[in-house]
Amino acid sequence: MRYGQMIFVIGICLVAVFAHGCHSQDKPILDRWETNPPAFTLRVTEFQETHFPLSKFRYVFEAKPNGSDKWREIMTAITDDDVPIPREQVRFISDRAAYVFMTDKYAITTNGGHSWFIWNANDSIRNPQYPGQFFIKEVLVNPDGSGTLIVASRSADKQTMQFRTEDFRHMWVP
Amino acid sequence: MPHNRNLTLLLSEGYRRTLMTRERILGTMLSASNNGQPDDCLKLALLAYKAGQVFPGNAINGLLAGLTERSGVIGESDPNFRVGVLRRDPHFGNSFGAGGFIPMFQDNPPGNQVRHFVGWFAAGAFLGPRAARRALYREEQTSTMNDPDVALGMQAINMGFNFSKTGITRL
Repeated sequence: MRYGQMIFVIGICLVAVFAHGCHSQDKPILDRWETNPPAFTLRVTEFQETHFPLSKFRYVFEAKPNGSDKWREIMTAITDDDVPIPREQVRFISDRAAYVFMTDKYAITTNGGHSWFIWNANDSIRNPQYPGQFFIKEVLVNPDGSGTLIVASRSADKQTMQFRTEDFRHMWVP
Repeated sequence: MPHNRNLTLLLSEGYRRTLMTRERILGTMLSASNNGQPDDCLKLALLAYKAGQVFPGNAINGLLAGLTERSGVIGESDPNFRVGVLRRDPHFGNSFGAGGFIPMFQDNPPGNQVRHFVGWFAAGAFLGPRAARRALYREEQTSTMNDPDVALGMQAINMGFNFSKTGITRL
């Protein structure tokens, strides 16, 4: 009986160790930043996800339209290192339009944060040599909807591509 | 009663020595993080050498706990004795980058490739190459060697595994 109990306890311990070591766990918030109204409000929250052997860092972008008391998630970006929240990549074009970008994701609203158009660089670039290897380096969108978006390769060649838009959203390679 | 007192003295002496050892390597790591020279790759090599001196027989975990958020397979490193890991840590310093690593190991924008190397070096030593490689592909969501993190991780896993078997590792 005692032998059976011991096996049971060891089994429980092994399961606990395995679960702790192999599965990601969310940790408390590492950092949070919120824009100041008068326009609608945006905020970015950084979480640490524990993985083996190294953590990942999750940046959750949320919006709260005027008249609403609920935060709605826009997009999530994941990095390998604990980097500062990229405040300069959260930009208001007017009191109805704003865009954000981080890693390979870009999001824009033109109706005060009620709905967002999301664009993912790695879903739009087909490069078999470097699959999933691009990040958004810079975006510039004008109040009339025209703009440019530059992506760069994470790899050694550091190649870049430029996209254009005329309506805030649809990106094409000129 | 005197036996207990001796034991307490012995334990506190052991604890004091452990703290002194950790403070010694912490100072070296912090100074490496804060100084611009040499480059990050050479800093890593020098810190590995120092860890071998300070933690004989346990250099891998000494490096892991000092330069990453991990300690051992499931433990968490002490924020007071690690450098360049989380920005809110007391000794974040200037962290580390990718300077001096060959281009195929350099992430763009530059990440902390010192932390990345040490994490996967320890994974290779603790888990063995097959399990560590599987974890690497899962974490990076790709197995292509065109990915700088995969390329560096593979190199680190092989070196960590060889080091755990022989105590020697070569590029």
